[in-house]
Amino acid sequence: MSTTQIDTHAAVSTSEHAPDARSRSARKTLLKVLLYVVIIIFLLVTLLPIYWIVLSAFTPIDELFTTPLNYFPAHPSLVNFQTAAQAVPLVQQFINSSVLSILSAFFSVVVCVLAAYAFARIRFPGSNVLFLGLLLSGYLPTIAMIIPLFQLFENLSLLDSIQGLVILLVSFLLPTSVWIMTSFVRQIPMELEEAAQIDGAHFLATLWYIVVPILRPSIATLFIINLVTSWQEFFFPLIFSRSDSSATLTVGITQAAVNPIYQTVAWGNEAAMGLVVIVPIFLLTLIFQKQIVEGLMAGSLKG
Amino acid sequence: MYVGTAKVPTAKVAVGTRRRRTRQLLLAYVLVAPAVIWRLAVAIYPFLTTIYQSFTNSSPLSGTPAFIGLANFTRMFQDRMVMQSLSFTLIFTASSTAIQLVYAIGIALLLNSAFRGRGLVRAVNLLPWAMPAIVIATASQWMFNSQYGMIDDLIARVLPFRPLWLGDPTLARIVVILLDVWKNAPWASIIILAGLQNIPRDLYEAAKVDGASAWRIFYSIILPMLAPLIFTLLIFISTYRVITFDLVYGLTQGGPGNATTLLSYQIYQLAFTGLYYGYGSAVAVFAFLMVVALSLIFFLFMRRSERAL
Repeated sequence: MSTTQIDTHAAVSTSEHAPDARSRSARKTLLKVLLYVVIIIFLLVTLLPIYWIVLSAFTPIDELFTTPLNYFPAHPSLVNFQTAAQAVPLVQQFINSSVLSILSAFFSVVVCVLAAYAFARIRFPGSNVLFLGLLLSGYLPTIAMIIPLFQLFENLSLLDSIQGLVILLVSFLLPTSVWIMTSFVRQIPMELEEAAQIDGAHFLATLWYIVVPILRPSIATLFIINLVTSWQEFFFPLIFSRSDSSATLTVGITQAAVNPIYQTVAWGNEAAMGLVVIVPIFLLTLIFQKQIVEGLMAGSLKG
Repeated sequence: MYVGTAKVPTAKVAVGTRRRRTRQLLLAYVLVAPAVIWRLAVAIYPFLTTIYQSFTNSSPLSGTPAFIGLANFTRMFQDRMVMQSLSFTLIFTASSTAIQLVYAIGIALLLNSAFRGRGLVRAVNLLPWAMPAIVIATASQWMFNSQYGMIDDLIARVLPFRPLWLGDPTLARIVVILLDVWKNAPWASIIILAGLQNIPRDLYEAAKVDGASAWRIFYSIILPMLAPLIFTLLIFISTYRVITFDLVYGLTQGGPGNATTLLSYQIYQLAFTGLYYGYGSAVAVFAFLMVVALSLIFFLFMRRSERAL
C-alpha cells in the first residue's frame, strides 16, 4: 500500500502533461479510497476477536446464547467475573502471573546485560562459540526438553513453585535477550568507556556507572518485551503447576473451561478471565508501543 | 594514574597490562557464566537427556528404564496417530508460514504508507502480538461455535449456511492455521516494516523517474531488498510452527478425532497423559530433527541465492 505514496509522487512529476492530469487525480482518489478500505478491513480482522472477548465478558450468560447474536450487551453486567472468581482462584492466579512475569523479566534482563557487555566489549577465547551456542540453543524446542525437566524438577522439589517457573522462563527468554542486548551494547560508542578506563575505573565500575545508565532505555525495552512474553506463558505452568499456589491466569482459563459444573455455560467465565488476562498486558503494550517496536526491530536486523 | 607510567621500566608495564588482561578475561567469563550455566542446566542438559531417553523405554510406571535401541523410532513410524500428527504438522507449518509471510508483508506495506491515524493502526497491530495464544484459542472455541459464535453469525447474515467449523476435520485445520496467522503475523510485519524503512529512498525515486509502476517497484526493488530478511524470517517462523502447542490445546484439543493434533501436542499427550517418557522423547527428537532440517534447507537456499546475485 506504499504504492499509493509512490503514485502520488508520480502524479506530481508528470502533472505537466495536461490531458493526463484529470485521470491521474481520479486514480489518486481511487487509490486513497482503496487504501482506507484495506485499513478498515485490517482493523476489523484484528479487533473483532478482541471485541468478541470484551462483549462476552460483560454479557450475562442467558443473553450470550442467542441467534442472531447481539453485538451490544442488552444488560451489561459483571456477573461473569463473579462466577469466574468462584470457579478458579482468580486473585491468587493474578498474583502468580504478575510475580512470575516480573521476576522472569527482571532476571533475564540482569543476566543478559552482564553477558551482553562481555560479548560486546571484551575479546576472550571462545566468545564466538559461546555467543553462537547461546543463540542456537534458542532453536532447541521446549517440547524436546520438557520430560527431563519435569524429572529434574521433581527431584529438586521445584514442581508447583513460582521459583521453578521463573528458572524455566528465564532460560527460555535468554537466547533472544542476549542477542538483542548485545546488539544494543554494540551501538554505544566506545569513547565514554575508554575515557573511564583511562581514568582507572574498573571494568565493573564502567559497566555500572557508564554503560548501564546509557543502556537504560534498552534495558526498559527488553524488560517490557520479556514481561509481555512471560505473561503469555502457558506451557510451563500447565505442566509444572499442580495447585493454586503456582497456577497462572493462562492455566486458569483452561480450568474454567473444563470445570464440569460450568460445562454448558463456561464461555462467560472464560471471556471474563480472558479479559482479566489481556487488559493489563494490552495497556502495557499500548503505553510502551514505541519501545516495543524498537526492541523487536533491533533484535532482528542487526546481524 | 597512568600518566606517570612513562618513567616506569617497560618490563613492569608489560606485567601490569598482562595482569590487567588476565583480570579482564576472568571477568568476561564471570559475566557470561550466569547465562551459559542457566542454558546448560535448563536447556542443553535436559535436551541431551531427551536424546538419551529416546533410546529407552523409560516411564514413571515401570522400574529402571532399559535400553531398547531404535525400537521407539520404528514404533513411531508404525503409529498411525503419530504419523497423522506429523502430516498435519507439515501442512500446518507450510501453509501457516506462507500465509503469515504474505499477510505480514501486506501489513508492513500498509503500515509504511502515509495515512491519517497511522500511529493508531500501528498500535492496534501490536495487540495480537501481546494476546496470549491460549486466550485467543479459548475465545475462538466459542467464536467459531456453529450455533452462537460470532464468525458464524456474521456469515449467516450474508450466506445461508452454518458450517460446523470445529466439527469438520478440514475446517478445524483451517481455523487453527488462520488463528496462528492472526496471532503471529503482526510480529513478522514489524520486522518487515523495519526492513522497508531501511531501503534507501533514492532507489524509489530513481525507479519513479524511470516511470516504473507500483507493482514493478515492489517486485524489482522492495522484494529483492527484503530477500535476506525474508529468508531469516522463513527459518524463524517455520521452525516455531513445528513446535506450536497452546493454540491446539486451547482450541481443539487435537480434535475432531486426531485431525488437528500437532506434533508437540502429540508429544505432550504421550509423555504426560500416556506417561511414555521414552517413546515421547523419541517423537520429540524427531520434532527437533525437523526443526534442524527446515533451518538447514532455508539456510542453504539463502546461501545459494546470495551467491547467484
